[in-house]
Amino acid sequence: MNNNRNFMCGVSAAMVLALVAVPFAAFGAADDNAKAKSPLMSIKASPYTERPVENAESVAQGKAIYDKACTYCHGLEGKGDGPAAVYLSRDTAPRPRDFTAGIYKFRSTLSGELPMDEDIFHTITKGVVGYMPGFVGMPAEDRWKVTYYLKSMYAEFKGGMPESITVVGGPIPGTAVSVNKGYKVYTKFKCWECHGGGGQGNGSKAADLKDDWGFPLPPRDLTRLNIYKNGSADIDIYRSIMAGLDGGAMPSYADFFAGEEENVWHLVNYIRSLSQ
Amino acid sequence: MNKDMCVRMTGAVLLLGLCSYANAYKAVEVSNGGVITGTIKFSGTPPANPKLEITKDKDVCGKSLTADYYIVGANGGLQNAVVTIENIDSGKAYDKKEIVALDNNKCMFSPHVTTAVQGQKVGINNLDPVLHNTHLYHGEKLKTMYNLALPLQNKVIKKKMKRAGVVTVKCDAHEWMLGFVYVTSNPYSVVTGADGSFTLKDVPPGSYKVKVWHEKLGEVTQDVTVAAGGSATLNYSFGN
Amino acid sequence: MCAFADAEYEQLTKDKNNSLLLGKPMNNYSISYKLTSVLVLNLLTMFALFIALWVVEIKNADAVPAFARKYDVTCNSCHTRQPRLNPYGQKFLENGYQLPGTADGGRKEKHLLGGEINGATLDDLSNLVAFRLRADIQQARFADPAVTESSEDPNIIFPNIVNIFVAGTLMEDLSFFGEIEYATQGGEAPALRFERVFMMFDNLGGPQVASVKIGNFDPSAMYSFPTHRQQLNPIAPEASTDKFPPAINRIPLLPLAFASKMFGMTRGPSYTTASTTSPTGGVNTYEPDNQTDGLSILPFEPMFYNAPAQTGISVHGRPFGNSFLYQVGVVQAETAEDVPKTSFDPYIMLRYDRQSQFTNFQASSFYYIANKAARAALRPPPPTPFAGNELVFAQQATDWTRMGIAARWQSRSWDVYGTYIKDEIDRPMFGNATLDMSKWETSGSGLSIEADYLLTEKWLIGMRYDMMKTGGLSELPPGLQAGDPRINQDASFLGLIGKYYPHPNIGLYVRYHQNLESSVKLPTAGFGGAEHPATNLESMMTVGVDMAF
Repeated sequence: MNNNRNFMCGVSAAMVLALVAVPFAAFGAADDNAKAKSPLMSIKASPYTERPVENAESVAQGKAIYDKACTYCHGLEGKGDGPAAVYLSRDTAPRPRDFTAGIYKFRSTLSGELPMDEDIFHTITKGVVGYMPGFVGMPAEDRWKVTYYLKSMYAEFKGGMPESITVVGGPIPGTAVSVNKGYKVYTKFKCWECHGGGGQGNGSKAADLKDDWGFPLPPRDLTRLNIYKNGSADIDIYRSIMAGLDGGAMPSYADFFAGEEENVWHLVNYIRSLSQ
Repeated sequence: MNKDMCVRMTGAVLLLGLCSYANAYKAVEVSNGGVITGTIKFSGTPPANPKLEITKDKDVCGKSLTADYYIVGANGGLQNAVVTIENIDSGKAYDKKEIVALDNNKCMFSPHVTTAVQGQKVGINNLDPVLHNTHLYHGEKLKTMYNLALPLQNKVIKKKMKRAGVVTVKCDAHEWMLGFVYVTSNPYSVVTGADGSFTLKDVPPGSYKVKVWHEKLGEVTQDVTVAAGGSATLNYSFGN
Repeated sequence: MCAFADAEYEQLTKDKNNSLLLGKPMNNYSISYKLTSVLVLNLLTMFALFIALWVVEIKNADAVPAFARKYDVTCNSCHTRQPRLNPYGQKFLENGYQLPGTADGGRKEKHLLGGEINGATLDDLSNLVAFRLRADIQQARFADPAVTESSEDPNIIFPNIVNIFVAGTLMEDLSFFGEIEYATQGGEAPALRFERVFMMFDNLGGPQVASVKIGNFDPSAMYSFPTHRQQLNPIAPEASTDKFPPAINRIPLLPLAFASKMFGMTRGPSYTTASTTSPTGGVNTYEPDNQTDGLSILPFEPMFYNAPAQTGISVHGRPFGNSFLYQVGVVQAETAEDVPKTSFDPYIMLRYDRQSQFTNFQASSFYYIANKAARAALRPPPPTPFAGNELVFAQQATDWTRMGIAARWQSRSWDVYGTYIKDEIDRPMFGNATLDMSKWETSGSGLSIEADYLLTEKWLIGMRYDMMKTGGLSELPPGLQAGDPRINQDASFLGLIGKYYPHPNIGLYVRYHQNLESSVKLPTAGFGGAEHPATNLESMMTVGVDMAF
């Protein structure tokens, strides 16, 4: 069953990953081409040949790593109830993820879908700016094992492949024309109602936004690119817009941008321009 | 089809999760079906619906709105209760492609309560000129199912109801908005009308557990026996 | 690394050259008009500070100190509230400034993105260097105003203490820590000096098996009631220990469980001034040079395992899973001045951890042996059977053993921790029939319990109870004058703190300490007609700021 899933995973991810010939950096302009072809991640995902097989043994090994590295925040049973959890944010979101709830913010899949393995691996690697350190120093193999263990906490991961967002096109040079188009998209699609006219997270609907756990979670101040929790590379922003951030208030725009994905890339340029 | 087999088949034909949504309900021809009718009531004085605090988009939403949690008619008929047969594996056919409408209308969900059969899609539309996001949650404990942006008017977004159970519908942008989609594994479900009455047709003869659910008043299960071609009655009264 | 050190301890124990004479004595604020004017001044200053920091907060909402900077996380990932560590921060510390469960050498993402770097990974300086800056305004109220001289200078210096930390990892499992402190305490000339400096070799023999710390470190860093990073910063005493008995205007305000607790103890005669022959026959007497610093041991001074920094080597690890932590170490002996410092003081600490929902409980105990750590002394007041100012030392330097237990329960917004520490010394003998009739208590004990509660994300309130059953000299020999402040008297204080964090790395606080011992004047004036030092301070109010960058 797991093999099937891995295989399926492999097929679909390989289709998109195979386009990436070289590792690419998140911020390097020279890597724009690579980014254009990169599907979903702003980091290098391990080749499938280097991933441990997902089986009971690797899950158990993942648990052992988890117990040493993750329990202080995410809790012994992965419910986000570790002893250090409250200090991160006592009265506000985000709290550490509850892996038993099966709700993941940072996905390259449609709203309501579970994340792909790569998404979880991506978050473990990069961390969450402001809250979770990136575990890039942990061997990739261990990060995969932890990924498998986290999946084992929620039964529905054993179902079929999650439905991925579609990535059409790629980053467009951030010319004035593109930024201007992006501004029009930002206006038409009412991003400003939450994120504010100037992108400072102070729109008319910004107040009272809460996450699934009832903690206040205001919209991101888009003028601060370096604190985007889901990453600040073009593809990261694209992903956030299309997939939404499940568990929080940010909805998925995938249905509205279907067929006009180019507008998303313009929007990405506009959003980036807010931080300049 | 057992689950393991299902998963194996999924893998084999690369059907993305289709199988796991398939329900056990089997559509058959019901020739001698009976009917369950009745009225769901609320006895006594229903709790007052709270005034909703409108904090945003007052030009569209209006300055004040009243919640529609308890709608009790003149005879105590309770609207927006859901009546559904729990234990029925086969019965009348239904249109799997039917789109269950769910509108954002003047910052309220319309209808407030609706039913859908597992596998059917809900068609979500925004009739207002402001941003809504329709946030559907599994159950009443608010675990995200879908969170969809509806920035433009009159574009219907269709989303499949993959699991049976109560789906809570909210809008993060407008905190007060609240609706429910009651998803069942069979087509024998109905929302009570303004007078609290309901009718479930084409029920194969047999003994059933029939559940009555209301968003605020909870749920209750009653035994109902339907004779071939007969008519069974289920009346229930919430409240005192 | 939102914060690391507690300078006041250094002030107390390390800085012998500077002595414990911490500047001009306090104002006598028991005179009411002065109290009022100073209070107004203080409040105005604090108000200005609040406004300034409020502005700072708006402009700079994401300032984060070094480790937080390095990993792009908030201070509160590792701190309950700065400077106190939460369980994750404790593990980070334990693992040699590497993320718990990893031996990553503190690598962060950009090394991967920018290409792997092999070997040393000294990256941005801002990821290694942090600052801690503290300032406060103190107002004390004394039972006996006669003790303190009056001064028009209010005790406002900004900043009081600046710490510069350089800490991080050089490579996998090799980390370092260095600390420079610049302190301007109580009007004293500013002093710049090194504090803790050490290297750590982590995860030797396997993950969590053994980490070795070498250098000048704080032994109690992993104890359940660590010396550093307290919400109620230690407040240095106003005392002079270069004479015997020590002149104590005001005792320090710190967890009294850590204090030496023994009255009548000295660091022994200095070699340079010691005369080995006794003019009084059989008794080793010495005439200490008044220039000799650090002679007396202040009964309120933190010592041994809980010292802020000691030179030595320590090994810790969790070879038996996550529940048990061991630590063994030796530090350079704190011997009496006249005992050669060739020996080492050994110690051992064991800790048990248990985690449950939103909760961490830990309990630890330690045992520390200080060889020939101190020497008891008597200075019989005239008229005595002995000549003038003669100071009489015990024949044997005493071994000093210390044991302690501590526990911490941290659950949701609560953080409760306490320690009980017991000290034992030998009964000093002076080889003189009269002096040997003095009474000594060979054990002392102390208790400190603190409870902190996070009211909101930005407000923390805390309370600490400190108690000390003192030991050492309890009664002078018959016929000798009594009422000497070196005679032991118990002490207990209650401390309250309210702390506001406009930002996780900036804490503004108001703090109050109340003496719980009744203030009873001793019958005779052994020391300038003064109150006993343990009871002379009635209360103390402090407002201050503690920030880390």
